[in-house]
Amino acid sequence: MTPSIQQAVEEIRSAYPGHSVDVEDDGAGGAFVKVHDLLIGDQYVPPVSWIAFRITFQYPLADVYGHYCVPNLARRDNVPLGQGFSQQVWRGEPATMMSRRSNHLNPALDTAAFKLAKVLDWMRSL
Amino acid sequence: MYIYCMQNITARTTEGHGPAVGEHAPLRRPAPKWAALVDDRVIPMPRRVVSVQVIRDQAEIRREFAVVRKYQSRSDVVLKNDAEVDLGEGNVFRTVPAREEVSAGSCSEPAKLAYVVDDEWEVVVDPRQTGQTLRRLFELPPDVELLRDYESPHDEPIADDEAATFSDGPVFRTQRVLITIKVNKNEVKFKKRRVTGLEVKETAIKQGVKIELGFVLYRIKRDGGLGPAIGDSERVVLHECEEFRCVTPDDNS
Repeated sequence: MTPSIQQAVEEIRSAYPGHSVDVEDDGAGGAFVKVHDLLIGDQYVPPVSWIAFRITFQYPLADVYGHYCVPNLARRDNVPLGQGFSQQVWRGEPATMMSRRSNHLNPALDTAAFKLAKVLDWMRSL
Repeated sequence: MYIYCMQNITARTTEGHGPAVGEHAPLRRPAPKWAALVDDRVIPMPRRVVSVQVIRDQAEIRREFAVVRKYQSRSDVVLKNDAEVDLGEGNVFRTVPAREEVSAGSCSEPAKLAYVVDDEWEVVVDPRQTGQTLRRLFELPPDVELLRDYESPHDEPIADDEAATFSDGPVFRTQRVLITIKVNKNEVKFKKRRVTGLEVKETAIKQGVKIELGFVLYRIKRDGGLGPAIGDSERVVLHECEEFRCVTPDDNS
């Protein structure tokens, strides 16, 4: 892992105290990260999930894109999840993918921890 | 000519630190400061319930004058020297010649209440004021905050929408606010403590922080944790040295 990614991982641990964080080297200088037991919103079944993502070796110049949570995530009101969600595979396992792009990425500000925060806010706001 | 009514105030127990009313508020909060307004002079009082003699002593009322509690109507009440008065029920007094003839009255009108801010006073009859109504009453500028004055160094800021009930203490003070926070590691100074998320961004931009109004605002907690994003219309209370981060928004891809 590059120093930037190690720093990103430390910031994630600090930003989500009380949540266990799994980190695994991706073999290419980046890392696979999984943050457990995050509240994604009472409108979902389940309301709490892990969220996983890959920080690539280009970080912080590259966006942290593609966040994954439990497979078959559904809304409690049975309304389809809508744009930005899709059923995909995360490291060989089925998962629900949230596709949120930072089109105005500012490498100095938009860290992996804040990207996760924005994904969570977006999910909770729907 | 005023009509006075004699108020028969029951003597109160004075053991220990006196009656509980206002002496020491619940939850071990310090006692609020009290004051009486006597002949349009603010006289500091040691506690909420005091004897008329204490008022006489502190206001230096001469023997030939009696103390009268002022009511909204002209039915003011002459107080006996050995009586105790609960200032929480009215703290506005005047003096009249003791030899003046006293008539009975009904005393059904509310007593006048003097709120004191920075030793200035205003009289009201409604005890249910708020931070906002007091700010208007005393024409306080926006860059000062209102604090309830306690018998301790830890006075309590009163928010605009917060109750400033008379019985909780009528004495307040103000202080100028200058709070420095950090937005994206840049110092930003504020002249008020309660602001909206949008005001945080606007003030930061005015002070040179390279963000845009469309950015997403987060507060970084003391332990480094991140709370949810702060909406533009959401109200936040700023504390010295707090850190905020303002980042670009995302889009669906």
